[in-house]
Parts: sequence; C-alpha cells; structure tokens
Amino acid sequence: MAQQLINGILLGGVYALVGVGMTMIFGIVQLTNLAHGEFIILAAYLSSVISVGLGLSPLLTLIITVPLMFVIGYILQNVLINKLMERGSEPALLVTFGLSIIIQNALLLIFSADANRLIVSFQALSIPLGGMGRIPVLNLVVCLIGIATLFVLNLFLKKTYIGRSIRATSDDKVAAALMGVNVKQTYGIAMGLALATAAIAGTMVGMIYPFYPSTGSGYLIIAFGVVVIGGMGSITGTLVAGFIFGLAQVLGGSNYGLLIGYLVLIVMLAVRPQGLFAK
Amino acid sequence: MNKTKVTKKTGKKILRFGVLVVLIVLLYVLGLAGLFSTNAMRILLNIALYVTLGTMWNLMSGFTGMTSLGQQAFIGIAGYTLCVITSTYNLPFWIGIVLGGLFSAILALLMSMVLFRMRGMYFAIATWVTAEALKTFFTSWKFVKMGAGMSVKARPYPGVSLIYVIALSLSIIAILVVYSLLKSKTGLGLNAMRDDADAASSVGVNIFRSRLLCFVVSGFFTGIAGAIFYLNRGSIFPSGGFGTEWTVAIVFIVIIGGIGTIEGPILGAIIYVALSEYLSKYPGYSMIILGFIAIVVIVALPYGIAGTIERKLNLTVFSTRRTLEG
Amino acid sequence: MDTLLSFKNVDAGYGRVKVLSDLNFEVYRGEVFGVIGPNGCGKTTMFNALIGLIQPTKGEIHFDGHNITNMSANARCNLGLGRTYQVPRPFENMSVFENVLVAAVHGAGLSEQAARPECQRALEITGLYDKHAVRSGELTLLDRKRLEIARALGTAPKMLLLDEVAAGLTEAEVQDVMALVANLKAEGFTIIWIEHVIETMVNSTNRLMCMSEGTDLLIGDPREVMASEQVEAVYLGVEEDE
Ligand SMILES: Nc1ncnc2c1ncn2[C@@H]1O[C@H](COP(=O)(O)OP(=O)(O)OP(=O)(O)O)[C@@H](O)[C@H]1O
Ligand SMILES: [Mg+2]
Repeated sequence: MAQQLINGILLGGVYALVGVGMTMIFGIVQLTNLAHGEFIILAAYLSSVISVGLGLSPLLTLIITVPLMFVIGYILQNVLINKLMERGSEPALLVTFGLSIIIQNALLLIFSADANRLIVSFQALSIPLGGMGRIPVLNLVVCLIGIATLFVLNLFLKKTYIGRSIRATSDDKVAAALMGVNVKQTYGIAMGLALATAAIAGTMVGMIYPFYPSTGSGYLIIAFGVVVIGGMGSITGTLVAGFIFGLAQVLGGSNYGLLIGYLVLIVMLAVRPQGLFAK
Repeated sequence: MNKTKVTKKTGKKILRFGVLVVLIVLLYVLGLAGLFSTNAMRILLNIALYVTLGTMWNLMSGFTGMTSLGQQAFIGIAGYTLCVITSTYNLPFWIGIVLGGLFSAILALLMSMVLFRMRGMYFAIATWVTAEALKTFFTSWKFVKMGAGMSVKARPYPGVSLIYVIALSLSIIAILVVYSLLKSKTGLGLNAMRDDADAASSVGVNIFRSRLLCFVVSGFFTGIAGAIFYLNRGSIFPSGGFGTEWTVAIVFIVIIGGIGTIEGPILGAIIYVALSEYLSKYPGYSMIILGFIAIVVIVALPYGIAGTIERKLNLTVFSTRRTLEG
Repeated sequence: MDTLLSFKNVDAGYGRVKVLSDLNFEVYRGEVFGVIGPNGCGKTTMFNALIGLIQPTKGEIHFDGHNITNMSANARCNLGLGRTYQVPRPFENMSVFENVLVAAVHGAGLSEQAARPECQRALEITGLYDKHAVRSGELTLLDRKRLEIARALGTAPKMLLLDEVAAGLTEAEVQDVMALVANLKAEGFTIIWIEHVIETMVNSTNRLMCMSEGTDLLIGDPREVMASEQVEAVYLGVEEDE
C-alpha cells in the first residue's frame, strides 16, 4: 500500500506534465487539441530514434526534441489552426482529430505495432525507505523533471515579456490586441510551448512505460483530466490533477485504474460543465 | 406568372421524387434478384450502413450543434447485444438487432443525464471518454468473454443479400426519419438552434427536449446499424466495437459530404467506402490518406461537397426550407 | 396599478462575476418602462436574467402571476416575454420569414399553417415584408434590428423587451425605428425599453428607471428622474472616467 502510494505520487508528477500543454492550449488558444496524446508519443519515438542513432541517453535527446517540437507547434498553429479558428472552434477541433489519426497511423507504418521503450542506465536502481517500501530512482527523476518543467513554464509565463503577453491574450484577446500584442503570433508561441512540454512528457513516459503508436489516446484522456480538474494557470491545480490520476491508475491496477480515471473525469465534467476556467 | 412558377416547382419535385424511387427500387430488385456480385453487395451494404451512421451523426453535430466523438459506444453496445442474444441466449438474430438498437437508445438516455450539462468541446470529450470507458469495461467483463471477443450465432446464417436488404432498408428509414424530423416543428427549431441556441431558446425553442430527442434517435439508429454490421462480420472484439476508427469514419463522411445537409452523409458514405476499397491495396496508408483528405476538405470546402453545391447552385434534393408562400 | 412584472432583490451575473445586485422594480400592464444607465451597469444583463439566459443567485422574478425565477428560457417565452438583442442575433442561415416562423411556431405555439399570416403581419409592421425570402445573414444592421423586433412580435408576447434598438443606426434610421416603437406602444404592448438617447426616453416612456452598478438607482416620472442629482452624478462619474 505504501509502495503504491509512492508510485502513484511519483506518477502524478509526470501526468501533470502530460496535461500542462493541453491545459495551456485550452486556456490560451481556446482549442481542444485532440492530437496532444499523439504528439507525446511522437516525441517518445523521436527520442527513441535519436538516442539509438546517436547513442545518447534519452534524457539528452531532449536537447533536440524540445526545440523540434516547439517549431512543429509554432508552424502548425500559424499555417493551419489560426486560420480555422476564425470559423469557430469546431473545424479546428476536427482538424486536430485528423492530425491525431495521421500521426498515429504514420507511427504505425514506420515503427510497427510493437512495444518500444526508452532505456536509461539507472533503470533498476531504487532507494530503500526502511519498512515503507522503496523509491524507484527512475520514477523519482521523471517526477522531478515533470515538476521542474511546470515551475519553469510558470516562471516564464509570469516573468518574461512573451509570457506576459500570452497571459494577457488568454485573459482578453481584444484588449491584448489593442495593447499591441500580435495575437496570432502569441498563439503560435503558445502552441510551440505546449508541444515542447509534450516533447518532455513523451521522453518521460517513454522511460517508465512501454509505448506503441496507439498509446496516445490514453495520455490524451489523462491530459483532459488535468484540464478539467486542474484549471488553467494554476500549477497546484495541475499537480493535484496529475496526482489524482497517478493514484487512480496505480491503485486500480492497469484496467480498473483507467476506468476509475474515466469515471472521475466524467463526474468532474458533469459537476463543472464549464470546467474550472470560469474566472 | 406565379402559377407557372408553382407548377414548375411541383414538376421538379415530382421529377426528383421519381428518380429517387426508381433508384431505390433498382437497388432492391437487383439485390434480391442476385444480379449484384457478392463483392458489389458487400460494398453497397457498407455504403448503406455508413449512410445511416453518417446521417445520425449529422443529426447531432449538424443540427443540434452537439459534436459526439463517441458514436462507437452505441455501435459496440449493439454489436455485443447481438452476440449475447444469439450466442448466449440462442435467440434469433433479429431480436438481437432490435434489442441492440433499444439498448443504444437507453445508453443515450443515460448519457444525456450527465452529458447534457456540458456544452461544446466538453460534450465531445465526454462522449469519447464514455466510449473509451465502455471499451475498457468490456475488455475486463467476464460475461462478454473479456478481450477474447464474441461471435454471432444464427442457424441458418443470413446470407449477404438478406443483410444487404436489411441495411438498405435501414438507411432509407434513417434518411426518412431525419427528413421528416427536420420538416416538423422540432426541425424548424433545430435549424434555429444550430445558428444560435440562446436566441432560439428565447423565442421559445425547447433546446433540451430537441437535443434529447436527436441524441436518442441517433443512438437508436447508430446501434441498429452497428448490430447489422456485426451480423455481417460475424464476431466482435472490444477494441473494434468500441474503436475510435468508427468516429473517424463517420466524421470523415459527414465533413466531406457536407455537414448539416441530408445529401451530405450519402455522398460522403459513397466516397468513403469507395476510397477505402481502393486504398485497401495500400494497407497502412489508407488512414493517413483519409486523414489528409479530411483536413484538406475542412480547410478548403468548409461546407463539404453537398453544402457547397447547395450554396453555389442552390440545388438540393431534400429541402427543408420554408417559404412565406407555402 | 396592475403589476405585470416584478424583480425582487435579484442578484445575477456570469459565472463568478456578479453584475446585478439587489435589483428591485415593477412594471405595470400597458406602460412603456424606460431603462437608462451608464455602459456596463447591467441593463442587458437584467434582460438576460429576465428571459432566463442566466439564473439569479438570489431574489425572485414574477411575471403575469407566475414565479419565473427558475423557469427555462423557452417556458418564459411561452408565458409572453419577447426579447430583442442589443447586438442582433438572427438565425443567419435561415430566411427572414423562417426567423419569424420559428418564433411564431415555438414561441406562440401555432402550427406552421396558422403561423403564416401572423408572420406576415409581424413582417409588415416592421417593414421587412419585401425581404421575407432573404437569408438573414445578409441583412443590413437596420434590417437586423427590425428582424429582432419582428421575431419578438412573432412570439405573441405580452411584454416586449427592447434592448437599444436605435443604437448604431444613422439619424434617419433612428427615426424609422422610433416610429416603429411608437406604433407598438399604440398597439398596447407593455414595453421595457433600454436606450441611451435621453430625449426619446423622456418623451416616449411612462416611467423611467436609472440603473447604476447593477441596482435600481431611481425609478419614477421620466422628467423627475432625469432632473435628479443622483442620476446626474452617475453619468458625470462615468464621463470623468473616460
Ligand atoms: N457573457 C458575459 N460574461 C461575463 N461578463 C459579462 C458578459 N456579458 C456582460 N458582462 C459584463 O457584465 C457587465 C454588465 O454588462 P451589460 O451588458 O449588462 O451592460 P449594459 O448596461 O447593457 O451596457 P451597455 O449600455 O453598454 O449595453 C459588464 O461589466 C460586462 O463586461
Ligand atoms: Mg446593453
């Protein structure tokens, strides 16, 4: 039991990271990115290819995958989504749905349906905690990286000029535009940042769990949960949501864990139909 | 002058009606007389089922503004109902199909209690999550043999021509039901809701009731179509029955064909089935190509094929327009 | 006096934003009840609460003998509340006629057949008859405002709620709309009329309410309300801000 609690909490840090990009896009661009899970898995595969190809540790591949995913997000938003958003939210929603199908099937085509995994040197290490169980080093590292990413992102949004203009746009895009913020550009950067967090999330989940081209949808659901439970712009909310899902998953086992997660999510959606964004 | 206009209009109507009737009679007669090859029959059967699925998703998304990404919940439930009824209880397959539709309608009713509190994207997410939850549940439910799947039992097993006739009839009934619904008082309200739900409610349109009606009707027919699909296929697994691929296909069909039009899902289903037949030569690529086509259409033809024709040429087969002259 | 509508201690808003606070007023049958107040003081929000687009968090609303506080918007419309939107919200893909038809069928509960003459009448009163077949998304602002009124009339209301039907129009167009409202008044509709044009408010209403920060600042004879120092202060306060 104690061991499961430890595992659940450590998993929570990663799940918060899985959700934070989705939350950003939902809050700032007002888009539900149905391809967020696929972007996470795409990043995991990129990381795998690079680490095998260059003989790097998966953690070091972030140096390449994070900027790469940022650029992909920036271009995607500027070339495709910004234009569609002018026609309302539905076309953009459906396009991200199309993207998720394309990415998933392209991965299937290239990498087959076999399980893949990112291997690190400290894979099997753990710290004993007396009679309370053990802390797996890998999960601890992954959790800490997740939390650190959240804090850096938060700092960026609060302290930098770009971050502040992103937040201003999310509060009131008309007012932001009047104050000279280039709204579309800002959306592009926000999407870039969201996919950058997806890149980190992909590497993290790829180190602790096996992944297949089709695992994206599982992470999308977790990301939804974080959006709905956590609320936008609140680091604590995002973390709490991550922990709820982490614990649900670990305590319920592989099948029922997911089911519990779904039920929590549906109940949350029903109780807070507008989400937690009503400011 | 007015009179000639009117007779011209009725003339056109009769012509359209005649063409439709001839087409439908041909589809029945050729099927029953065994003049289609088995392969042609299989393709037409799929088209008929996808017409039904598309028409019902369109009723939701195109007319009530509720985008469901979880239609596979109904398909899976009905498919499993068919299997349980025929192989666990040894009852005739048609009971399985009817009960499949009923259970889907009941599922829709239950879902509405929770999901109708949500709007827009939240509704879309919640329908999808519901379908995923059902998939997970069925994968670990002993009664339906968990992940191992179930099969349909029927002796004698209905041939493809019988299933084809059932599917064709279903698609015709589905279109007629949606068409008459749109022609009714409720349908007038649906058209208004689609443009502005708040304004519609403030001129007396009962949004909740209209949405509920559409959702339950959509669930019922989607379920029946799912059951017929699995009658033809013979077996079902949780991953397929509750698979996201269903929604992908349905969304593709309606978006390409033209959302919010009755003709759209028909055109879309024909294109989708034809494309998938063609692309089946290139396994692995077909979903990617379909995804690309869908994105291109969403960007370039916002109203789909039927919607664009309707706007540019003012041409419709099933018009639900009302005019002051009557 | 025969009270048709009353607001009792109503609080309402959007999500966590409270806009109306402790709003109290009554409207009598047959009168034109004017509402003024600085931008953002909650006039439109009062309409939203009245027709049921938002639910009050406190207080009660009574209309024509019914407690409508928790009723759905469509039920309130059926009781006889017909509303126009400040920023017109036509059903853009429907024709002008179909817009009014929706109101007559769903709001007034008529069959489509019985609704036709009623729609025709509403279109004639508002001067839109010639455009009945036009897609409403293609209308000019003036015609959209007329359509708002035609649609409200289509629901066979006991009370008409007019939200700045003259705002954003040219001088000549304003005259058109004013004449139209005068007509409606003559037909005997009870009207709540929100407008910023003080002169018309003084001349065409029976009583006037000035709102400020979501509450009723002053209600009474239009001239007396306009002459009051309180009202002057509210408007001056706003001007100083700008
Ligand atoms: N949908 C909404 N969500 C949140 N706040 C809103 C919404 N609509 C209006 N508000 C806010 O409520 C307050 C009152 O707005 P309202 O539209 O009722 O003012 P008004 O008196 O009609 O102003 P005007 O004379 O400009 O029409 C304003 O501060 C406005 O920003
Ligand atoms: Mg207003």
